[in-house]
Amino acid sequence: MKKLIPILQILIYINYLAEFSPFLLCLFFFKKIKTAELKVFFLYSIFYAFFLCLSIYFRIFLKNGSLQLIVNRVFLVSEFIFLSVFYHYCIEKKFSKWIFLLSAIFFLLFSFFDYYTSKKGVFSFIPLVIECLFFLVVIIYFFYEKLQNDLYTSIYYYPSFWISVGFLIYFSGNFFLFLFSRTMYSNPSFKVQFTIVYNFVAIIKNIFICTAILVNAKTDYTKHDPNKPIEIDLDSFILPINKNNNL
Amino acid sequence: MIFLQATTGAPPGSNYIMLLGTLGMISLTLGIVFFVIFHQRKVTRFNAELKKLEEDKQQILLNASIKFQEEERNRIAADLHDDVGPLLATARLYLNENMINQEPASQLQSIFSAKQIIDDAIQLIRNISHSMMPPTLKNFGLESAMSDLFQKINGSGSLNASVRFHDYRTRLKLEQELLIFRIIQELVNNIIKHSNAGFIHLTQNATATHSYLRLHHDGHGIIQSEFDKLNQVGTGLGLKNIASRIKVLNGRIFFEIDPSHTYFKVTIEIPKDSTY
Repeated sequence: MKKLIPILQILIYINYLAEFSPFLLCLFFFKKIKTAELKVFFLYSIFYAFFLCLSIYFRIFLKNGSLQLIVNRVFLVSEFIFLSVFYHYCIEKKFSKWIFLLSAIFFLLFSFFDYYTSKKGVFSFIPLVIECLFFLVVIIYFFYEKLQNDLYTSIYYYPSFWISVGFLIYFSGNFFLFLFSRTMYSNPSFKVQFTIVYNFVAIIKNIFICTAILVNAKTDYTKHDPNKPIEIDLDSFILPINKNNNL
Repeated sequence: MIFLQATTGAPPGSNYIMLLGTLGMISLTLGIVFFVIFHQRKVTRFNAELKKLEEDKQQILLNASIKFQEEERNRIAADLHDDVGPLLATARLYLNENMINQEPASQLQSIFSAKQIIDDAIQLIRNISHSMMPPTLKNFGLESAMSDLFQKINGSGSLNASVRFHDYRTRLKLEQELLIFRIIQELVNNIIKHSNAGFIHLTQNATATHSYLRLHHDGHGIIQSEFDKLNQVGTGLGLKNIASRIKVLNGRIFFEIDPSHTYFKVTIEIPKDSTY
């Protein structure tokens, strides 16, 4: 197992890099972020980067496990809220839109309940499993809606599709991991397994998210807008002086 | 093999289940993603083909209706010019002969009046004929036809009208020119009728692929959203005709107000290689 430690370290560092990359790409292509859902996603990436820094600080420098647990819980709830709002904008059906927002409130309440009822000093994986399950359903519903409604544009031209693919892989890849973490997290071999699978899946997720940002950067939203002003210099003329008109 | 070791505190084989579950979930996810991509691609391709067929059909119908309209106008123009004109001229001659039996003073007066009326009628018919198929447009192109039109407007004295073509070295097709002429004519008519403008200025420019025309006026104009609304719900045919002609030309029209709020602008964008 000792032989694996440097590999695991490298994987973790690559994942750290991957986790920051959506935020950096969002900053780089800031002017291209025009749709409401991408604006929410941009806020999420800022938030993610901030919590990642905080998490690294608590873990490596402060070495305070309990504080990190609180940060993780806050992050989990915030992530749920951000993603709910993100899909609130992505999905067209009004009823579903509001269900997502309501579910964020329920999740917030449940997280509080879980925090007070679960064992102190141990990370509770139940909210994580619920988040996984919920977003797996939401993303599949999002795909279903896109298949139903979008009859003319290929789905891979939408940044939200790539973001959804990233999260789908992330949540489905981690689902069993989180489910078993409750009983097996104390096992060292499971921890190794957890680290490998989690980091690998998270890297893939971030690659897809970066793809989404790049796809968005290449999308010209004004290209097919019939109400886009016609840009040609035709105003360089001297206004005719009219005797009847005081111009 | 480290991942598959038995663990304490959990049922034996949990690692297997977890790993297989994870792999299964990822495979399922990838399956869903590929299904979504391929199915949606199939649907979009089918719909794009359907849409293209529909658009082609619409384009053919529009072309046909506009061509028919223009042919009909040409026929009327030719009839008016070739038949009605000579007939009236002959009537004038007959009138001259029948006047011989009358008193000289009244003869002179009648002849003068009749001649005047018939001359007016001939002129009127000529004007109708020219407005239906402007000969200047056919023979000398859009620039000359526009200059002619604007000169006539300017001649009325109530409106300052001017034209400036920046780059019209290569003429568009006659059919395109005719459609553009009709669009400008309609726009100018609307400006004269509704806007209470003091000036109208037409300016033209071109790029390698497109030709652009812009009308400026200082009256009460409309902006794009109003044009879209009037085009959809309005009862008048003028704006609808403009929109359908623009569609036939595969072009775009954009109504706006200058940022200084001193004049309105209507810009027309026409692709040079339009299939029309």
